[in-house]
Amino acid sequence: MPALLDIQGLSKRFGGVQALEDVSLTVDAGETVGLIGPNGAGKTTLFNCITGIFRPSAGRVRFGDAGAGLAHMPSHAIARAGLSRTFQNIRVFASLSALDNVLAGAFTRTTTGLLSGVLRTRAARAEESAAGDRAMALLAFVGLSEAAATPAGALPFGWQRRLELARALAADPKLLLLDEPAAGLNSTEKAELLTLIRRLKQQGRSILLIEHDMQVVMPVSDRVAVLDHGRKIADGPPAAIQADARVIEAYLGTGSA
Amino acid sequence: MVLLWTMVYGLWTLLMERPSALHLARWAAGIGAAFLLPLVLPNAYYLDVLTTALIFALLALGLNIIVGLSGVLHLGYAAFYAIGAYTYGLLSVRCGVPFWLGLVPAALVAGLAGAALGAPALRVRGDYLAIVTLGFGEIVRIAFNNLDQWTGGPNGLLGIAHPRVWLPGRGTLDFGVASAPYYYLTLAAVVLIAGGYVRLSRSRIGRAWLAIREDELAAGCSGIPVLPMKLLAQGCGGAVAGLAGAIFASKQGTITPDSFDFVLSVMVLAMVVLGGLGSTRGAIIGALLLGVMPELLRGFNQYRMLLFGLSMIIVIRLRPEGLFGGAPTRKAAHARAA
Repeated sequence: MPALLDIQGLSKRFGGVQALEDVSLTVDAGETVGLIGPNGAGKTTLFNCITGIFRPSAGRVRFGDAGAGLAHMPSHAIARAGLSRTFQNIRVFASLSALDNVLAGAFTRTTTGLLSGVLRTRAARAEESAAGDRAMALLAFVGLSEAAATPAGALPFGWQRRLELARALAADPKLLLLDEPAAGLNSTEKAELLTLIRRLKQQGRSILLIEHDMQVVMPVSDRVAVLDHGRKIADGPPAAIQADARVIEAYLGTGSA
Repeated sequence: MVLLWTMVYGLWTLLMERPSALHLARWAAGIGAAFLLPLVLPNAYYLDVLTTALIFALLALGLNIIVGLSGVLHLGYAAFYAIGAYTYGLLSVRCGVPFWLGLVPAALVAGLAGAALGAPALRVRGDYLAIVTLGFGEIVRIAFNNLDQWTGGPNGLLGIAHPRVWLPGRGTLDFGVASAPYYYLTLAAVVLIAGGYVRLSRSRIGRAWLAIREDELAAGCSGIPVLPMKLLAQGCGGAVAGLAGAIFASKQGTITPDSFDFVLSVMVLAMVVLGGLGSTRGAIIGALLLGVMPELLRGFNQYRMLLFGLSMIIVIRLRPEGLFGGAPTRKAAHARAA
């Protein structure tokens, strides 16, 4: 069976800086892959290349059975194909309510157009009500039910992270890209996040997870890939990665042992 | 004055999400008051000022789709108003198309012009986009000015037909130069467009626009096609201006390019900002205020515009988010959660 996400030989250059060099990475359906690496290793750049924010300088990205080359698709088409993401620096729709944030995330899963929206046709009302119920269920899933009517920008930091997760799930993605979901969270919130990710895994979701925090990434990942200076230096089960000499060297530097 | 207040209050209530019986009563009272207003005003001049203010309200609602919902700063909005006015004007003068039939192409052509301008313009951002829209506004006005063989140039397009309606028992009634029919016509258009605006802003499309306004990148990654949605907003906003333009042309009977200058674009933008970006009530109240105030201040003669500017500065200083600022976000959540 071909991998759900198949990245081959991806490179990205910004002027003289080689942010990514010949990176290949796969995520199988139902798999959770952790992507770790020191600051500036190119993790977020890789995400941005996958989601159409950056155009890769070389290489290709295939997704799903369609085998679509994501490298030349716009962001919204990639999202429509079933790839949703969260952001390292939170990007909620600040003045919209939490509920509206999730509903906006369901854009690709709803169809009401301009005219049916204005006329509030029976179909439009039915869809709006169903989408609202689904959005409330997702808010409940991430534990934000009581914040549904609150403007997203007024929510505490940790809640905004969870809201982003709910917004990404609203598109019912085939693959979820989480960009440092634990960054800035306290230990209680991290524990809650771990529970959430485990529940997503139980639902059979495929996840690609960028994370610094080993206590988050190691327990939930089926496989961990390591980036350093834009190259992939290791890829394997969490236990093997923790013991890998090159990984330890990348994090701690040479001669430290 | 009481009637005017009832009208404003009633119209306000009209824009509530889920009207209760009390709201419906206020609604009826508001529409009744608006209906009765022409009967108590001392002369046609007041009614004319009010009609002009209502046309401004239409423009403010349309511009609010572009600026308030999709978050694109547009400095040439008067161009769409001009395109609507000239579309109906030319159809009327050249082809004898009646007003009610002319409304459709006026809105359509202006809407298409909005989308057509947007296609290249929306690829630039921020200050550059503002300059492109400003340039567009001026180009359209200058084009109408210079195409004298069709538009009559600076002398204006003359002899545009007034609307006619057929009333049972009274035969065909030409609106002519009376004030009251235009007042009712514009009022009906404002109620219609405001209702549509509220519904639209709370629909899937409206949410997509707001998401784009809040964060374009995140909206794109959530599957919202940013450029097409912005074009749609420009088209809708343009169509509303086209509608307002056709009403204006039919009321005036004569249109000249200098009715659609940059100052008008800025005035409408000021109405939207004063009322609060994205707010329906805000756009209407802002338009009524800025439309009526210069007339109310006439007693101050040459200090009129000075006072006008001063009062705007005071309002913006006290309420930077506008009178009714804040996004029209969905508040039905409580009801749903319960």
